[in-house]
Amino acid sequence: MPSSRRATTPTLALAASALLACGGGGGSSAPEPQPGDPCTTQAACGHLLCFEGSCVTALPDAPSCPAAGGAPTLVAGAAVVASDPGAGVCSHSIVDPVFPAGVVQALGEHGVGEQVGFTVPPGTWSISIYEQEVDDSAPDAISYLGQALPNAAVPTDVRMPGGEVFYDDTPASVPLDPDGYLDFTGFFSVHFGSPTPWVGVATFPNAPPGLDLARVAGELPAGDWTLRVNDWALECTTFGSACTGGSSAGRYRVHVVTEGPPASTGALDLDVYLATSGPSGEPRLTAAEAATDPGLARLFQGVATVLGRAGLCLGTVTFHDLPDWARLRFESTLYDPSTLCDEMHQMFQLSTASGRGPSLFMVDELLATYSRPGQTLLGVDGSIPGPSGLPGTPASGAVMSFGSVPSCTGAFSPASCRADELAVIASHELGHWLGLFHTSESTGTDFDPLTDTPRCSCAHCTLLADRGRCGDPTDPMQMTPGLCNGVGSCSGASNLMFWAYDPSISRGAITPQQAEVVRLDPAVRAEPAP
Amino acid sequence: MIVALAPLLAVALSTSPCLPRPDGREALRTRICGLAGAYDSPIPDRAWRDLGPGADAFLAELAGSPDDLEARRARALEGLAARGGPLAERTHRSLASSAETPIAVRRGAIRGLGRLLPRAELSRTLRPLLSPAADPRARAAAAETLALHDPAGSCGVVRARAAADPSDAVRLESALSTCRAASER
Repeated sequence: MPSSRRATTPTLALAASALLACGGGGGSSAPEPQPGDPCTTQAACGHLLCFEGSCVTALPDAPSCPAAGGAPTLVAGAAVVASDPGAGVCSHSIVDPVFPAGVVQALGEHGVGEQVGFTVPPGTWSISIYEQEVDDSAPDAISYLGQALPNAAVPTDVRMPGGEVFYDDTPASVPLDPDGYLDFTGFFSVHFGSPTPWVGVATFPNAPPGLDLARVAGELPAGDWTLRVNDWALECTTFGSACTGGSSAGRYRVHVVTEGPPASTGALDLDVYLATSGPSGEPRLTAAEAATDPGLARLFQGVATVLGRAGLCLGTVTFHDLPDWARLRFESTLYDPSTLCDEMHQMFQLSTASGRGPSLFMVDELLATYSRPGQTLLGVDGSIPGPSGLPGTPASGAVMSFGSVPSCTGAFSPASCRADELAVIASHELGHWLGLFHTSESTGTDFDPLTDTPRCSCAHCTLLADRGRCGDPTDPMQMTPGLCNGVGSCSGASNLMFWAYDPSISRGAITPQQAEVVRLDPAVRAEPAP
Repeated sequence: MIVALAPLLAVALSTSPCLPRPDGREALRTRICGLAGAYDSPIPDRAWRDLGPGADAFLAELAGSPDDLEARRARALEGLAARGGPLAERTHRSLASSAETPIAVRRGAIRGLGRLLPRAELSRTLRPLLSPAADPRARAAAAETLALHDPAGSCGVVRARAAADPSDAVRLESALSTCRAASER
């Protein structure tokens, strides 16, 4: 595994090294640290951040986003025009990617199991593979170990010109870390299970060896690559009696998008769809009102601040009105992870703006059906990563709930400004869209595939009396931010992609590797530094 | 002087319960606010029940905090509903009945009553929200809750309501769907 990890930008590298070197909680008896106090450890800064030797309230914006010009432009876009398919109607469509011909390769329709070739041009740093099911050819769900699972369209057996495997959806083995948890950091690329029948996207590389491969050589190996069209239903047929409902009949339309090196900064445009209503059924906020709303201006300035830490400049945020029927149906959106026929995935098909950037739906209320109906979520994504440049599919959205958004003045401060809190939540969902996984999951037993993101291991960070619950499927530990705000393996709660948000701890921090992953997503358009 | 300080005091007291305060509740605060802050992960009922003494009061404070995110307040209500008890019921009743409650919190309180009240009491409590005078968004939540917990006693009213006011029909779709499923069982 290559060991060289060149920093993505000097400032980001310094910011992250300061965070990683410091990483500690505040003492209880020392005076409250103030911005500007010197620090050599995070502990010296308490709830502030230790950054380049001084306590700060927040990390600075990426220098490549000009201070004034870094403010996103908020505009009202075209309203979505769509007729009401009726309640409970489940549909999905196949769409063409919006990328120019030199970037996207249409590989045609293929059955699962077929090996398909594609070209990686010189100078390529990332590969995105899109599969869209045709003719309802694949089952929507399978049953694995007695549990119903939606199918997922995901390529496998992706090979470089020399034949070396770059991605395998069913690796022969996954190493364990010293705590006995699965360790994916040694793979070129990773695609964690995301139930996405009908449409799936995978963007590689997203793990350190793959990132190193591109960075050290200045490109991924150019030439003729291959992939195998695949879905979980096909994999199911190889698992014997453990899996039922499998099928080798799935057919998919396949596209590959290749992108060049991540510029020192990239620009990200957003399309925002508003599903929010007043009591009489009127829009609580129209697109035109949103574009001039001070609270939303503050919110998206906050998103720009957080994403700026990854070298992304938030460009244009375009608001869209939904048709009345859609706004009323989806103002309270139901997410059922067992199906793509739920309200959330059907709503995502209204993301009809033709941009390559993420589609963010803002709704009054977001509810999930897990073990019981009606569980509130802060936000969720249709898939990880999101299908950048492929609007209008059931996976083509991220959604967050929001209520009133009073504006604030002063520096970015999630602890004291609701708009900034919502900015962190929106940025978290956008981080998923751009390919980031939770750094640590709630159980403290699953982690992202990056090596510079702090982990919060259940085996280390919970009380001895509770460690028997680590990995217990019936009563798992919940590794809340307070347990993960310390040093070493008990940290990470300040990271943008930690599984939970706490206003006194979460800072929306982003590591260099996370920054590199998000800038490789095809949603990002290269923008030369000023 | 006292008059001049009053607004400042109000601001100071209105900050989120999830921000650190020297009130000796730090451990409880971080556990509850962490659970309430899960972005997209379900919180098992047992995690709420394991919070121990003092949690009910903190959850009720968080649920009623006007300075907090509506989603976090709704999560706090879910925690209270999982734990049950008189304070949980009082908090839910109060937030569910007030037109001043932000709609996402109010809907959460209405749903939570479905977990807290016996069927007959639930019907008595939520039926008034099905009236034409109620906020249609709260009416939709009440209809969904009644359809789920008391389909035999409430689905007729829900259907009649949807038929009487087509402008309500979209918002009542979920309740009507639950009623259909109940009638097929």
